[in-house]
Amino acid sequence: MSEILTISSLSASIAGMSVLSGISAKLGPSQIMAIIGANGGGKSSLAQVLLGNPEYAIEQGEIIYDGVDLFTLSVDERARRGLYVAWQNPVTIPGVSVFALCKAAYEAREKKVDNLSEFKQKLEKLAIEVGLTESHISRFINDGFSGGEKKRLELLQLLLLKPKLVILDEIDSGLDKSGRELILKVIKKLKERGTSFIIISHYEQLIEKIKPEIVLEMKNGQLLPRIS
Amino acid sequence: MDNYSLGFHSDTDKYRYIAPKGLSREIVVQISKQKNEPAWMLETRLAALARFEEMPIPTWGADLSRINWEDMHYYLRSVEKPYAKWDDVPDSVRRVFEEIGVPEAEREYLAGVGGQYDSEVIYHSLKETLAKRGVIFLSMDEGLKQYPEIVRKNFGKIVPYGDNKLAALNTAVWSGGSFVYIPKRVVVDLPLQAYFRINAERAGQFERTLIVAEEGASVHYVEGCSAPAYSSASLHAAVVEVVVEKEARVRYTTVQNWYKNVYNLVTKRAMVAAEARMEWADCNLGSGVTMKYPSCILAGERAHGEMLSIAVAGEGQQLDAGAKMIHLAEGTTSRIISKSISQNGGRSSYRGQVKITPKATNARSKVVCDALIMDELSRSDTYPNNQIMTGDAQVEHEAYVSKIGEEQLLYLRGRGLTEEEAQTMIIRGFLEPVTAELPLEYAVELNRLVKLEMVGSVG
Repeated sequence: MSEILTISSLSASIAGMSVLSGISAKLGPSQIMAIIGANGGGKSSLAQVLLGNPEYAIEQGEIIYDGVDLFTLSVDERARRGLYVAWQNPVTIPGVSVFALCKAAYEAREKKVDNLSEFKQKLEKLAIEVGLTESHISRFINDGFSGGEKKRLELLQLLLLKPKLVILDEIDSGLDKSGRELILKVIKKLKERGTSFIIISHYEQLIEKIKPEIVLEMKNGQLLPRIS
Repeated sequence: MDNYSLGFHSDTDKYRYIAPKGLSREIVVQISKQKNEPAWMLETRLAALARFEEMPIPTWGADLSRINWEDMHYYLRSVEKPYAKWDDVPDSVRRVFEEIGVPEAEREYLAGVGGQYDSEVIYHSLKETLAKRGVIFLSMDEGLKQYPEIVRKNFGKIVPYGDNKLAALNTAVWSGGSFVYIPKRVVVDLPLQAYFRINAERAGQFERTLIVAEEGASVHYVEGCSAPAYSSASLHAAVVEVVVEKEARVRYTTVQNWYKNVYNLVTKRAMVAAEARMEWADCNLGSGVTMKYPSCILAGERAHGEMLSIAVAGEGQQLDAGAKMIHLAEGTTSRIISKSISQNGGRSSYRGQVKITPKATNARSKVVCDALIMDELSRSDTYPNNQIMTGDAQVEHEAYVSKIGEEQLLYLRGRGLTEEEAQTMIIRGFLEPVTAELPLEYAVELNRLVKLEMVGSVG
């Protein structure tokens, strides 16, 4: 079985400060890797490096994603190739509707344009599935959304874009019990379709319920096997 | 970098008349004579010319010191008269309007169209159903010929020639523009559109527009403009007067896309009666220098004035625009939303005035100015002026200056949008409060033009 993600001896820094120090990890298709650890340990930095945030400098090491050197791909190329990072604090974009975002993201990922009304129907169905309503689709991106609604919008895009590798950065923060159950449902559904996950969380119960294949702990920029 | 797609021109060999360069009493007399005008109009023109010569060049706002007033043609007549069918318009002129897409827009979504080419209106049409209901949509010259009393009653009443130097110039040499009259209670559903094209080099265009909406009437008037890419300067100095009678509603939308050699110095003002509503939607993308402050004189009780504006200032452009809301009566309300984008060294300014006079009790006004600055070379300034002479007015003023959010760009790129797509989407979002108010066709056109302006500015 070929890996979807191989991280080898990766070190990265932001503004001259080291945040990741020689980390290595492997993840196969349909596998889930959970990364736990206290705040400031480097969990979110790893998510941002995978996303391609230009503020992070790669000092050494490599990441092979789906057979390609990840660092040769721009942020948008990574996304179009099925890498999806769900943000811990998704941004607000006034004047741009959720519909416009989803349509543009879908077209970028699928490399095709859908019939507008069919696409709208599909999106509305998914919105209801993640506990949002039709009205959220016509609202501006995260504008006036509660913390939970923002996370649900990330899940909506996950279901729509069917990525190969998903990084969930503290996806459960801001969500109530029903929201956390929804996450489990979405993860299960996509995993069955072959999606792999990196789940970053400090919520132990969530990790227990997800039953990841791999559990690692991030501490001082180092990724270590979980000692339970 | 120049993404201007309307920079072509047609030759001027077949023009019927081109006034010699420069401004003189003889030229003003010649214009009036060619138009066969009544004596009062010639008198008005000459008085305005004298006033123009007396008045100093404004030293506030944009830099006008480099205008060479003598190196310009003040009147150029391309065809003998306006045509009612595009097929009759001479080829060289018709092709220009086809290139711009005016006949196509007319077929698809307009109630009437006027086309002006240099000094004269070359085409005019109005749907027959509207004509039967008494709607008048003519060139200003035809308006003066056919409805001299209405024109005389209103001409120069809202914008007198002594108002400012450019209004004096316009009054002296005006030619073309639209005359619109909407009778009582008539609602015109589709927009009336006028398209202004400067074609000749070193040309001035001085159209004059008068719109009268009678009690309870409603109309949406749209104007667009463009010019060839000449290296020499051209001058556009229009005057627009709008009479909005009791309970009437007028919306005046401008999509200004002059080439960057054009000085665009325009005076627009509306007189708004009780319970009436005047809305300016003003989109400035082109021109080298723009000075324009559409105004509403809110003269009747509970009259409402509105200004929605967009300015996109790029390399070498200085767009000094804004609005004036003059509250004269009880319960009058106004709203100004100004959105500007400055890039590649462009400079945009908001200059606005809200005046609430002692009689305007219970007045409300809200001003929102948002500026987006794309790079370190560009600049944005805000010059608000509030004069409040009552104790119970509610006046709000909000001004924001921002840069394109790096986080927003990253979020969208992380969803597969290229940098350019992401930037376009964020800018559209920024302009959305204004574009959402425009009819779909204009919103689409505006988004297309903004995108064209922004191409290559990523980096």
